[in-house]
Amino acid sequence: MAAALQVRDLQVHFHTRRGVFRALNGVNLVLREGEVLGIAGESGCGKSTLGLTVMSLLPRNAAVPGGQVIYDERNLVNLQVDYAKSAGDRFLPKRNEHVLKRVNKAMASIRGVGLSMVFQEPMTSLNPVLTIGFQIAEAVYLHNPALLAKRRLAREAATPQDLREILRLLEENEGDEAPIRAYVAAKSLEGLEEQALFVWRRPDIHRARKEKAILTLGEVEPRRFERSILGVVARAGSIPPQFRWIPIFRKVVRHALFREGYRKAEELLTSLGVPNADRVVRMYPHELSGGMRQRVVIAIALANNPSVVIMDEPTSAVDVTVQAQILELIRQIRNTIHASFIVISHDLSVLAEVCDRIAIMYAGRIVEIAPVGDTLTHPLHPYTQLLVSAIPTLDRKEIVGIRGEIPDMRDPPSGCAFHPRCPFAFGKCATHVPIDIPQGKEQLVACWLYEAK
Amino acid sequence: MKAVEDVTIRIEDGQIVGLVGESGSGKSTLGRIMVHLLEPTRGDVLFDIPDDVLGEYEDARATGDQEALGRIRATHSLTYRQRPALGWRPLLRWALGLILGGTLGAVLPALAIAFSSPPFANLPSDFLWAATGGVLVGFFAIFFTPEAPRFVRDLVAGVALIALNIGVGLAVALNGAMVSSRSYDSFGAFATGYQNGGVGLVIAILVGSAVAWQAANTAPVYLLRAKGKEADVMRMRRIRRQMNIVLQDPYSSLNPRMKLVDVISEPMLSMHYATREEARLRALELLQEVGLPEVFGDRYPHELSGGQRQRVAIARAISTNPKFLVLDEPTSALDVSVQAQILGLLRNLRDKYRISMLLITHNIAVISYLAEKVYVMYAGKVMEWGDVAKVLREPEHPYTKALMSAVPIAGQRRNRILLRGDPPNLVFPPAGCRFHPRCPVAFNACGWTADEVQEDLGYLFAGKYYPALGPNLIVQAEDDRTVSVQGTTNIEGIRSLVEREREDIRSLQAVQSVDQASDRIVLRLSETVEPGLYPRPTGGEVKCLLFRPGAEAPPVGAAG
Repeated sequence: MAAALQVRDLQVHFHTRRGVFRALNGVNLVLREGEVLGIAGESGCGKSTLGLTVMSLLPRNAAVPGGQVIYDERNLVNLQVDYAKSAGDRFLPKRNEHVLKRVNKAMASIRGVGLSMVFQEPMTSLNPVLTIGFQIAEAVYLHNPALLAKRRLAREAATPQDLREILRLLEENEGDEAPIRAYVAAKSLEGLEEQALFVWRRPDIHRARKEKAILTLGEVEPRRFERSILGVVARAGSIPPQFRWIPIFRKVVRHALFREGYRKAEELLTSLGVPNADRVVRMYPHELSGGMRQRVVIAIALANNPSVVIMDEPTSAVDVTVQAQILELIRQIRNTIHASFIVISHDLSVLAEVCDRIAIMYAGRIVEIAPVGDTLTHPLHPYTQLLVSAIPTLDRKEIVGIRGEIPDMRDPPSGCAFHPRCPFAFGKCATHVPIDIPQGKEQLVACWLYEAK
Repeated sequence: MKAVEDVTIRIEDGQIVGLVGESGSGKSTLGRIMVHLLEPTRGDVLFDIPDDVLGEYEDARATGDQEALGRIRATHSLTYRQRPALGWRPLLRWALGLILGGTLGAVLPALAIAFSSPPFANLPSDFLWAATGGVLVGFFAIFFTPEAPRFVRDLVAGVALIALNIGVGLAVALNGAMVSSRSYDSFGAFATGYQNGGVGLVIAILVGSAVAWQAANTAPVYLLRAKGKEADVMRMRRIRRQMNIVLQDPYSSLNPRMKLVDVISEPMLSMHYATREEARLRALELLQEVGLPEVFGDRYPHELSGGQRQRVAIARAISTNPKFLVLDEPTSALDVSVQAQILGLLRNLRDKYRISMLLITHNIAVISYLAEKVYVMYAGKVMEWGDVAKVLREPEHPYTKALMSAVPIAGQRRNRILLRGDPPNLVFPPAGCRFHPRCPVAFNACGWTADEVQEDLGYLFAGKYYPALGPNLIVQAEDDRTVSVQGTTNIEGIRSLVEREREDIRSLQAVQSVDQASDRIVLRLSETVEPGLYPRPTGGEVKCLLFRPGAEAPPVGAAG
């Protein structure tokens, strides 16, 4: 299976006033295409830092002294690595700001489109003064204005015959995408297929209404000025500079594209199981419950069909029953969307619900990575074993904590970082950093206990 | 907003009782009420009560014996407030205050107007004196009735109003009579004077009564009322020594400017449990008790990790040897590995000191590890309670079932009962059983209202039944128990729709009859029954109509 994302020997250090905090110390990870990979560990072990590094969202005091994040055959962190290497011990956050500026510029075309992230706490990651629809539409507007323009133009250009033909194709092929795409491409009506398919896949209305909705897609108020401007946007693939800088054009373009964006937002929310999406897009975040907000954040992340989605603690701010809904949703979208997922959570039992593989992190390293069943039923690394045994279950079995605390990463222990807390530690552990040792078919464990004698 | 309603919880000596539910279900509110950090609107928290007295209390409540109830509440209830007994003395004081205030409020303006220059009362002084009178009436009346309920105060204001009315009217009349005694008889003068002084009078009356009402609510009055509470406060202080709370977030519940030894000894000092020196020694002892070295006493909270902080919070909570501890989400801010340590610690403390604990958490696994009895709350009400083993393994209430199935358990994939929607808004709680809008097995009596049925019918007409029934249907909720459908005469179609969709769309269970009215089809809904807590053979109780005594056996495997 091809890799959607590769992380090789990634290191991230934070330069703080009280020393260098080594958050990641050589993380190796391969995210396969179409899989859901879970990352678990105690707080402070670098889970979220890993997610942020992949997205290149590190703060200015962060240095990446080594490693690669390879996405789409490009290394996303080379600029930061270069700077950290040239600066060495005299790392200056202020200088790093310039580097980060260039990184942000380079990442603008990748973030949200190729890689996207669902942040912790939906309460804080939505803007309270903007409507839901605006925030979803904005993601599409910034990354793919041409799509919005095409959607609108296609609706306007579609003749009743086209729509009837599309409906016939949908009915004959039972919602198969390919023939419709072909038809739409032949008639140069791109943007229409996704609207038709959305209506077709809606679970909440009857077939007769779907047919009606598809046949009436073409009923758009004709606006010639708007149409000619949108035509330019659609052909250029982005918003040309004259439309960005001349106020009257800018206003018309923004207005038209955002109106279309709200439509798209409505479709996205409906497909994520939000009832009354037409009303929800006009609401503000505080009007929604936690579960609904989480769906909105997920909708923003999925708005541009990214190939890798990173979910950072998607369920830790919601209740158990809502958590169950969200997990069900994640399981559902992984089947409908062609993307790979990284789910970060401190809760192993949540990961067990949705993941294919689970990586356990400790002190900025991945100590074990294995298919989900193996992680839970026969964990190999002592840390994983203790972590699994510390989860309280309904069986009232005795649970044991892990003695000690997570190490201070300003001054991490030598050798294996876990050896001061490890009940099986022996001589070599204190001096040598363990290597990844393959076990079984797909399991990797970084522990000297499993070294071939 | 009714955060907690109708909740009865019983915690035995040395027992750990779990309280579980979604956020917003009122768990924390209940916990805070129990250690008296919040005052309930109604109800009792009985603390340290022997079984026989509790029996008496139950009897008194059942029979409505106010005297016995008051006696038991005075000794055992945390929420008991001493009210001044209604003897002749306070009554006399109250009457005196009323007479005094009334006299002052009425006579002063009268005198003022009488001495003011003729021919009639002048408006500003009228105004001023009436206001002064109002203040005095209000102040004195409330001064002597610090515990008087609101309506007494309003009554006082009303009396002030009448007194002012008569007084000022009299004064103006007198005034007028003095001016014109030569030409008119006295009654005519009274009438004229009253008429001429009328505008000022009305304003004066309004201002006077408004001011009187205001005065009844001013700060000095409240201070006076607060004085009456002192006895209660002293009593609370004695009781509070025996109970304490461990708060959710150890990062915000420890004062960052205090050393740990001070953090732990603070409750002992403020409750006069120990002298400063004793408290210090005990604080060091307690540090060891919760598994921290003594040297930590001189450290500050920021030097500690989350787990260590929570240990300190626990040490502080048990410093005054309480009999009862509320643990409000003690581990939800901690990692799993640390959570296991803290749970172990709590269990040891319970075994060692026989402390009763109320464990509030949304984590069912924590409850199952620590607690013996569990109460499941939803939207401010207890839905089910019973032994942990029973409730968690064989839940009976549909909500508990859904909750248990939603708990992710590592290594197991189970059939989930997915609840639709979100917990209800408690400003407008659902009628009947509060869980019915999300309940997968709700039936006709569970509390469906016409609005809910109307909404569901609307979806059906727009979706599945669109071709069968046509596009022009208008559904309306006529009143609470009737829904009408306009725009079709196909009554059989609607009947069959209701029959067919009953199982999926639970609100249709409530539809009792479908009839043809003049221009529309009327759906009548069955009556709602408010569920009570019905005892189960296994010892617990369930608040669900499915388990109502006399109801047919609950559907086997319902919701599961």
